[in-house]
Amino acid sequence: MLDTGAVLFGVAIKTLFVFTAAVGLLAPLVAWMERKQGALAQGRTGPARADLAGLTLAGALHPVAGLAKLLAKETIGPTSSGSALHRVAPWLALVPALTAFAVIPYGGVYTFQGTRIALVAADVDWGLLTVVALGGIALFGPLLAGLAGESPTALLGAVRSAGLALSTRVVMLLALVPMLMIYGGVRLLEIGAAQDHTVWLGPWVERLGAGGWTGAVDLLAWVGWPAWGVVLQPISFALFMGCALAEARVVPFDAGLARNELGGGILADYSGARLALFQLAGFFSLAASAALATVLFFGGWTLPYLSQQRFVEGLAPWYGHEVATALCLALHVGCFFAKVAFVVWLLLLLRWSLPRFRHDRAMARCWKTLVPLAIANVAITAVVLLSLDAG
Amino acid sequence: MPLEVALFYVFGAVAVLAASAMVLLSRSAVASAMSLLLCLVSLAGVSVLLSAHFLAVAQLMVHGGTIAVVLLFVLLLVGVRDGGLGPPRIRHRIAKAVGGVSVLAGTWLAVRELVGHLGEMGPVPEGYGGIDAVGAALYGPFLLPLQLVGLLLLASAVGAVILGRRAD
Repeated sequence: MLDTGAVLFGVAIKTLFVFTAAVGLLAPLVAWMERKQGALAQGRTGPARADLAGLTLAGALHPVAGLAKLLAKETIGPTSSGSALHRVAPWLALVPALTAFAVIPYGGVYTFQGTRIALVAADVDWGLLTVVALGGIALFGPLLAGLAGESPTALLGAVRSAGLALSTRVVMLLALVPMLMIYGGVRLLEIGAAQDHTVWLGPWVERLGAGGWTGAVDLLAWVGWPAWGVVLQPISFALFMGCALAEARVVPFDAGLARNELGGGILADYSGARLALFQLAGFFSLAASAALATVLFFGGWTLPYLSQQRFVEGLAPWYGHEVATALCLALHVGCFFAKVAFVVWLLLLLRWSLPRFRHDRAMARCWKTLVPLAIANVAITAVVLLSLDAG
Repeated sequence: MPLEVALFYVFGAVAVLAASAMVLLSRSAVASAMSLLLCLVSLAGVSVLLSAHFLAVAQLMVHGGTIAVVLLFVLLLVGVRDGGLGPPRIRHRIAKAVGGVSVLAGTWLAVRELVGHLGEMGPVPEGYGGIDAVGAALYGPFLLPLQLVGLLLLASAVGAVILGRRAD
């Protein structure tokens, strides 16, 4: 049993690590990928100018330069009684998106000399629900921004984003329910660890062997795939990705801040540092959604085809258990961030491939097509799980 | 004073005093809606102190993330921005004074009862307030009330659809 001081120290280190990674790595990465992906989609070069002592790093310094530019600008806000709301709104969008990283695990559970180390800042047993609840609180940011501003376009933008957000939230909640049913819990550490194995076709095709198909059996026995959520529940994955785009208010679902119709919509009255906060909130929201999607659908930190147990047991005879576990830990954390970057890329691919949906049509599609689809998905998952249990 | 008790007072003060002060002192309907969010978040904090973790998260998810957003959405559609309440009137002030005094009196009575008795609660059983416990309660002893509430919500949803149609 560890004493309280050591536990607090561990939590402080993990919190520091995950927030440093979110602020210093994921947010600039999303900002850079957003610009570069857009340039690729439109056949442009994209950001390539900002340099540090002659190094441009393929435009990777542009997010920093953009942030510095916005921070240096004057912040203009309304003088009416809405100014307090105007000031609070960007923080209400930013803080929940950032807080979500506290409950999303970026690694599994490792044991060093009897000490259990879980790579998540707050190891709560209702982690998935916390991320969803925080996403709900983050909705208030854009709503307040529209209400606090003085331009009518901001109000129109807020009406549009609120309608879209409420509709897509229902779909997102329903899309997550099958994942809870499959993994039997909402603890993100357990959900990630449950995907740490491979489904081999071997046992399934042995029946073919009895029918004389020996060659095919030998071949198919080598076929297998990681037991990731995206394989088990692709419909939930597709619905989740769409809702993640809506939550970050990026292109197909950005009717609330359409630049060419509403002049920025909810952000019409924002400038300077507060606008920078809103942009950061969007990047964090995308990164948090990508991190959650990684844990739910891409096996989290786990390596494909190589489970933690096999990795540690395989290396332990040569390097000892501790070193093997440390290697596994480092690989897992790297693997997690690589997967998050992949999901961010996937989200941005969608973002730059789709045109903006008209908000009323998007809402109608949401309620008339996606909600019934998501409910049917829940029902089918329940039937399949129950029949697997019975059989 | 143990940490839990101190946190209980902080959350309680925010939920009751700060949130009602925001409603009474601000003339903006949006600020009042935000005070509801503040109150709900503080109550979620109280739920965590009571080891009812799932209840806290469900409260944030359902009340904070959805119902309060719907409330703001209604304000948006009605078009109430700051100052939408019109010029201040004497009867508003009287109503505010009565409201403020009753909140303070109620708080004082409650705190007088509580002082010295907080922290007397025994340890909670294993798994108390978790998802399993709440689910077992909802689908066990509270199955009938849960279904009745569902029926009520369905009826109100149908009613809303019919009322919305008539307005067209």
